[in-house]
Order: sequence, then structure tokens, then C-alpha cells
Amino acid sequence: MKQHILTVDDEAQIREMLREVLTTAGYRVSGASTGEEALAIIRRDPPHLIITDLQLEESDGFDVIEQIKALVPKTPVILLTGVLFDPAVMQGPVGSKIAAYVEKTEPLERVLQEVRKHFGP
Amino acid sequence: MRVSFLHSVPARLAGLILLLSGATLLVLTELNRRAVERLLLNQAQVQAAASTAAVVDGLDGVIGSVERLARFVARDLDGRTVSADDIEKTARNVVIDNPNIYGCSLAFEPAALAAGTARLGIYVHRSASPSRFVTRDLTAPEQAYWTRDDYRAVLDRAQTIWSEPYFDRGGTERNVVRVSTPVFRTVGDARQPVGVVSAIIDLDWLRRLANVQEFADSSYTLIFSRTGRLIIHPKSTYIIAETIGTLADKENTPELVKIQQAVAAKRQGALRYTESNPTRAVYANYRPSKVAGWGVIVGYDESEFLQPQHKFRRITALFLGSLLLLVGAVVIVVTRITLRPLGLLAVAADEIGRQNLDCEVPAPKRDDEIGRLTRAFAGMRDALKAQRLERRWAAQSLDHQLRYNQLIIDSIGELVFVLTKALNISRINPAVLHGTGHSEIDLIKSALGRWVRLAPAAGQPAGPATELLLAALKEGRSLHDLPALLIRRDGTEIFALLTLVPLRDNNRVVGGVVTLRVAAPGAT
Repeated sequence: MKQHILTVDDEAQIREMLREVLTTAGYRVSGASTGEEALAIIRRDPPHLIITDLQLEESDGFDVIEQIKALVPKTPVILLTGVLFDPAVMQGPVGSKIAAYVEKTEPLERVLQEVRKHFGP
Repeated sequence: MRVSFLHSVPARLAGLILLLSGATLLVLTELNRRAVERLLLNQAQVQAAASTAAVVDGLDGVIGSVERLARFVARDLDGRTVSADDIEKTARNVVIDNPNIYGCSLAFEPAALAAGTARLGIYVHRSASPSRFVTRDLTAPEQAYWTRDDYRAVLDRAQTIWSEPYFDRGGTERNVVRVSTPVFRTVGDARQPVGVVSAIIDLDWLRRLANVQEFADSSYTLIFSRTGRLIIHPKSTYIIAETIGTLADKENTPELVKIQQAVAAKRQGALRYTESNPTRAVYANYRPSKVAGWGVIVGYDESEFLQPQHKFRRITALFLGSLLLLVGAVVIVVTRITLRPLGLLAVAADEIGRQNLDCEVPAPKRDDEIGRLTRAFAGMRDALKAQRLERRWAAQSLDHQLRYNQLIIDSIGELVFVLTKALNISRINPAVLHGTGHSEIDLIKSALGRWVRLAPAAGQPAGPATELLLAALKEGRSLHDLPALLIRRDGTEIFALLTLVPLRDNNRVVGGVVTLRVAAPGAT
């Protein structure tokens, strides 16, 4: 059975590219554009891994992570960060809740590497 | 583009295999046909030669025995005074004791008879009457036996003579041939012929002899006399009526004349020729008889002996043709199945050429070269797809980065001028427009010195910033918090602190960034 990955990003283009690369790599992928939608999917079809953006259109990524962790505390979360994110945040309370963070300026392959760390090659 | 079937690899491969196999089989079949034909015809020739020899031996046996018997009777009568009863008894015994002889005649000149007897002649032949034999008196006036050429010739030549075959009209009423030998009487020192002993052979009996030796449906036997007169022929109407010469003319077979000439020269052999009616290739074996100078021809239609081979050839051709078609079909099917992934790969390559990386690539199901190619192709497609995705990711990342960078710059309250190395303005932030009242069109591409002057030292007028800034850029130095005056659109000047940072690209200064921090809005 394929591993289920949930991607959360308010940009459809990002979600589509993540879906493509993860599907090609053999994973089952669901996408959510908002925190609410993400939580609904988690309740309906709990994922094995969550990849989420920090800046969401209608909510703060930090809040979404809190809510996710409250719902599925053992599911690893990978944080996708953009220009406005300072890596120093990882050293704070948020850092303890996420499994890894990947800057959006890094190659997609880097995202895959982080995913494979959790599922194996 | 789809490849037409005729130009496809399976069709070409099948065509090549069919062509080579067909040509090979044709050559082998033809060689086999020739070998088998030669074998069959050789067997037929051997049979014909054996049949010819058997007919000749049988003929010689029959007519030789008849001739010997006639000679024996003649010698037995030599010196004896014969009576009518004696010769009738002798003639009857000859016919009774020899089934080969149909009739026997004995005729004598006066010299062989008792004094006062003119001539004596008896002819005894078989008959269908209850008595089985008929006796004729050759001295009867209607017989005219003494004047016949065949009788006189035997006496004149004093030797055994075989007649030409003839129809014994008024006698036996059948086709016969006669051998006649003289009876001698010694008068003084000389031996002179005084009578003739003749034996008649029924030609129908010879036909039976010939028929026994026929070895095939188409085989036939011809027996002809020394002069070529037909004695035995499959067409009974030709017997006696035709000669070898007339037959050769009638059937347009001059080879028959050559055969007759060869037989006359006591040669045996064989000839192949074509008969015209019906048209057929005939092989004729010929041989002369030893006794009467007759000739025997045993011929046959070669096609009869080739029939099994022709039948086998038709069956073989049908079988091989079917086999080739089957092989061709199998080759096409197998090759199509084998090469099917290549066609799908070609379609996929076309799609990839059109930038469609989501096209279907056949799943590799085999471990052969085509399977490896399919697997490699799928890998290449996936790699291209990943690369394109990576490019899209990088593009969005760059766009994302630029967008936020611009937002950050735009949010800065200080006046930011991006300059070329010649200190012309190439870019500004919104704070510049807000702070100066100038439009973007006024500022972009204009010299910075038009709008910004360094603050003068005490008692000196303000001068353009050009030289100092140019020198700093040239040396790659930064300048910080230099007092400066900014000329606004309404002509007023405001005081600001100027900072210059050189813009570097790989350690090469390509321009600079000037920021003006207004010390106190409205200050002059």
C-alpha cells in the first residue's frame, strides 16, 4: 500500500508540483490550500507525512502546525519555508514540532530526500 | 507517424524469410524433381529394355522353333517317296504337336513322287469346326499353288524364306506369316529342291506374346518385318496395312524410320521422340530378332512414369506453400509482438518531442534488449519529467524570492536609488517618488547629480556628488552618512544623509545603491 502524504500550500502551482514529484516517486498525495481543508483531510484520511508551507493565505502556518499536532501528534511534518522565514525560528518551540524544514529555493530533490528519510528509499 | 504494414519490420522480415526460404525450397525441389525424374525414367528404360529383350526372345523362340520344325520335316522327307496319306499325316501331326503353328502345308514336284504322279500338295490348318482341322488339297485347280511366288521362290533359291505378313484370304481368313523351307532330293551328285514345307503362324498369337510383356498402361509393342511391314501394332487396323515408313509419315515421327534402319543393320538401342497424335513424349527401345530379320519396338509414354512424381510435386508444392505462408504469418505475429514496444516507444518519443512528458511509455515486461530499451526509455522520460519539474520549481522559487525581495525593498522608508557605474538612475523605490514628488519617468535614466548634491562645507555652495561617488565606485568603497541635499519637484531642497554601497557581480563593480535618509522631513 502506498504511503499517504498531505501537502498544504495556498499556491496551487506548488501543490501541483509536489503532487507530481511525489506521485512519480510512488507516494499517494493529497493537497490542501488552507489549514481547515488540511485538518479535514487529516480526519478523513490520516496521512503518513505532512508537508506544509509557513505562509498560508488565511492562517498562520505555525497555528496550522499546532492544530495538526494536536490531531495527529505522531505524524511527521516537514515545513516548506520561503524568503520571509528565518531559520532561527527552528530553534524555538516550533522546531520541536516539525521533523524538518526545506527552503523553497532549494531543489525539489531536496524535498524528496527529506521524505525518503521518513519512509526509506 | 504510424509505419505502414508493408514498410514495417515484421513485414520486411517475413518477406525476406519467405523470399529466401521460397528460393531455397524451389531450388531444392527442382533438384529433387530432376533427380527423381531421372531415377524414374531410368527404371522405365530398364523395364523397356527388359521387355524388348523378352519379346525378341519369345519371338525368336517361337518363329525359330517353327523354322527348325519346317527344316526338320523337310530333312525327314529328304529321299523318301511320299504319298498323299503320308504328307497329310505329317502335316496334321505338325499342327497338332505344335501349338505355335496354325497351319502346315507340304507340296512336292513330280520328281519327289512315285512315277506317274504329277504333283502332290496338302494344307492342314486349325479350324473352329468340330473336327478342329481343315485339310485342303493344293492340287485343286482353284489353288494355283504351283505358280505362287512364295512357292516358286523357295524352289528357285533353294533356301528357307519367311514371307511378309499377309491376310490369308480364302484360307484361314486371318493375318498370318509363313516360313517355307525346301525339300531336297539327290539326283546324281546334285541336290535339287523338289518340294516345299511351310508352317503358318497366326499373328494374333504373336500379339498375345507382345501383350504379356507390356509393363505399363502406356507401353506398347511394335513388331515389324524385314521390309518394315507392321506385324504387331496396338491399332489392329495398322497391321499389314501399314509399314514403319507410312506410320512415320502418318504420325510425323521420322525417328521410326531411323529405328527401322538401325534394326536392318542389326543394331539395338533406344530413342526418345514426340508423337503428335496424341502429343506425348515417347521413349522407344528397339531390337532386331535373330531369326526372321524382324524388328521389335517397345515404347511407352514417359509422362506415365512421371505421374507419381508430378503428384508428389503438387502435394509438396501445396504443403511447402502452406508451410511458408504459415511461417510468414508466425514471423509477422511473433515479430509484431516482439517489436510492439518499439512502435509504442516511437509514439512516446514523438509525444516527448512535443513536450508531453505525461505520455504513456510501455511497461517493460521482458529482459531482452527491447525490454532494456523500454526500461531505459521510461527512465529517460522520468528523468526529463523530473528535470522539467525541477526547472518549474526553480522558476517559481526565483519568482517567489524576487517578489518578496521587491516587497521588502518597497517597504523601506528611506529613498533608494539603484545606479549604473556612470551614476545614472536605473531603479528607485516608492519612497523616492513619495519623498521628491518626481515621477518615475523623470528619474529613471537621469543622472543622480541632477537631483542630489552633497552638502557644502561651511561658506561653500553645494556641489554635485558626481566626482566623489564615481571615485568611490571605482575603488569599490562604500560611503556612509554623507550630508546631502535632495532637490524636490517643487524646487525645494531637503537635507538627507547619503550612503553609497557598490553593487558587485563576482567582485566586479557594476553599479551602486544610494540610500538617502531624510534627517528631518521638511528640513532644508
